[in-house]
Amino acid sequence: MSKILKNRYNISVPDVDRFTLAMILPAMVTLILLLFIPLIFAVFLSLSDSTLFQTQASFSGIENYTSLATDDLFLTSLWQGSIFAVFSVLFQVIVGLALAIIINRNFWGGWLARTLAIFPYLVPTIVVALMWKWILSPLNYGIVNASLMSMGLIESPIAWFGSVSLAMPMLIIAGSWKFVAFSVLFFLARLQSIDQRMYQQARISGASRIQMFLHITLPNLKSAILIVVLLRLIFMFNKFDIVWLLTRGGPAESTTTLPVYIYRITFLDFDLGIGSAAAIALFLILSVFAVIYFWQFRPSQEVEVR
Amino acid sequence: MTLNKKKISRRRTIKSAGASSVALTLAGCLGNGTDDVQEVTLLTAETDPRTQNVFDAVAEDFEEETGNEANYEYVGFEELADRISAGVRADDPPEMVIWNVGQMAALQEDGLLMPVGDLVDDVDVEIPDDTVFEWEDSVYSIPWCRKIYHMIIRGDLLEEAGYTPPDPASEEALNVDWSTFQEWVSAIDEETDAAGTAIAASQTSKGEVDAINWLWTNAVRIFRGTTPDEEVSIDTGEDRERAIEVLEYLDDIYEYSVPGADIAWAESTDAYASGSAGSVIYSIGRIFAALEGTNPEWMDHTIPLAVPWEQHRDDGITNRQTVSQFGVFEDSENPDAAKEWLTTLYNSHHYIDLIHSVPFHNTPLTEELAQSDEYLDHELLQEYPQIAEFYANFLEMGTSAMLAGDDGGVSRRLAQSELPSHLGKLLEDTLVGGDDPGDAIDTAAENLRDI
Repeated sequence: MSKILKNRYNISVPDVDRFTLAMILPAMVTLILLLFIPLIFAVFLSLSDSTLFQTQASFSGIENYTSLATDDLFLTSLWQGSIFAVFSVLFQVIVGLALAIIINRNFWGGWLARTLAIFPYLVPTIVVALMWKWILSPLNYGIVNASLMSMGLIESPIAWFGSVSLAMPMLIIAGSWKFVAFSVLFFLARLQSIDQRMYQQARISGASRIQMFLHITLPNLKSAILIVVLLRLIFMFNKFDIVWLLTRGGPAESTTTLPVYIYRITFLDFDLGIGSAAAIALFLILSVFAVIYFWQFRPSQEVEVR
Repeated sequence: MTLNKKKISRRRTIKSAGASSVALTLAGCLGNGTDDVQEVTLLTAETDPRTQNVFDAVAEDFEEETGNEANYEYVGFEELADRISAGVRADDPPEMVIWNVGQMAALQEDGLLMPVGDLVDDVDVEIPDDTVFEWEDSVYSIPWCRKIYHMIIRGDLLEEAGYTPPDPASEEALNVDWSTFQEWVSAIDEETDAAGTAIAASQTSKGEVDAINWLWTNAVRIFRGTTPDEEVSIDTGEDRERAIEVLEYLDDIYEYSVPGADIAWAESTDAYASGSAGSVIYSIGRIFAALEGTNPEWMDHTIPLAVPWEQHRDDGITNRQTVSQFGVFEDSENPDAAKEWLTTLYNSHHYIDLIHSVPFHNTPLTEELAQSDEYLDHELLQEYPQIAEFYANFLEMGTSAMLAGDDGGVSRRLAQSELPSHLGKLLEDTLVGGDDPGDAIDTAAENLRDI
């Protein structure tokens, strides 16, 4: 067991023995090589006028950051990325919670329901994107448009991902379909750890289902919900693949999120300096958000239900 | 005593390990006796298996002639920049890359390419002056084919709609005006199960191709000159007026198009090959490749046309071509061997085989080659001689938007616009986003100047 010691400067430091150090050293080295060094390099690039093919670049100070601050598309992508993340998480949490509550019950075929609930999570993102594109395609083989037209509900195919007004909502749904399973797993695990005697006592006391949900289930799920919201928000804010595969940030930049903006600037406009600055900005935004989130909500604290 | 034995054993173990490491390292340094063999790597987005077969055949001859080896790295078109960047930064770029002329310019702006003017002069294939990329009096890439994209329409749908399809080899196929095209697509849309057309109003390279085709064929000079100050002209004077005219016309026919801003290369092919759209801008070669797997009977009814134009086309620039080029990286490991590989390709039957690998998509550099027996000796070209004649006539009609300014040089900005697709965005903003054409043109011009 490690102890706390005072070093020569009278600062408390953990007494880490060599064995402990040896055990954590590989992870530390991996973190340094794969996280800290690239991060520092990205900061360096963000302060330079580097392009994609240059091996040497000049220091340009905060020019890239001031350029970003005045770039309407950067600010728009920040806003749209927030919309995408928030509404995606809302969808995933609400639908995930509902599904978890349903499949938490004992019923015939429950094991199958639980298995199918996580199935979307196993599907690779590229397959998910192709599936949604084909289902919602305005071409002949788009089954949704074909069905709606055959029922007489629409006269001509709808461009679900190709319309300015529909692209973001459809992106949220298609992007969240896969990750609802993540929420289901989290909530299901927590639900199954709730003491069932509380529900029995509540029933005896005459509590309704809604009252039991509000006063027993939700409080017990609070920490799980907060963790899921945090993780999913960060994940969806960083999401690039499903957005690029489905809409490429269009139409008319209506679904351009910050990762899509960064990709365009870096790999299509070849501007590594501004792309790195935008990536650092993304990192800082999420870091500040995570700090505030943990400080405000304290998701690690368990809730006592009486 | 026991402790000493343990210490001795540990010491021996460490010594043995050290000796083994040294032995292995020396063995590695000695090599396997193949230091004289040079390896060249070609990086390309030419992922068609038929093209890859040609490259494999070239590698065999290259090895036989020089004793060197050739490797190929196939990536997606948008991954090329990323891969090159990684190679350059790791001080290990591939020896060669196949890219379009504007992207070659982007590479040479950072001094990455090796001059290949001597190769251009020496190979057995005629290389027209207007297809090479020249920078400060040196030639930095060697072209191998033109890629021409144009309107394609289904003749059977046109007949079903009550019109007579034009003969691909005729003047009519090269001179469709706006009102005729609008009549055709609206009739197809109303009288058949297909939409009239599929306009790629998308910020993709396909959207860029469509936009440049519509604008350039209708004499909108997106740029006039090669210097940064005078280069972009789409937002000035007559060019701006004509551009607005073109966008308004496209807005009129957009109601007959498959809707949405998500029409890119694959969706365009799908739209035509699935029968969702009666016309599309592409190359016959790619359309035929798609039809072979879906509706091969439509190949006989597929008619190439020039992009519809109006009265302004009077300056000889009639189509949007790109010229696909080989570039050699100066700081690669074996650039001279790369030039030998290129010599093997250009001075053998493999060159024609490469063009034939995707017929009616890879187009010869010259009209003479396009009409030669050597080029026409191909099953598909002989089965559709009128289409072969269309391409030969098309080459004669005018030059490439990508290569001509008032100075006759490469517009690096226009060509480099392909990846960020600033002109595809112009179509997307006006046709899908509903923006004012004038405002969208001004935005596109600003983006082009920022390249």
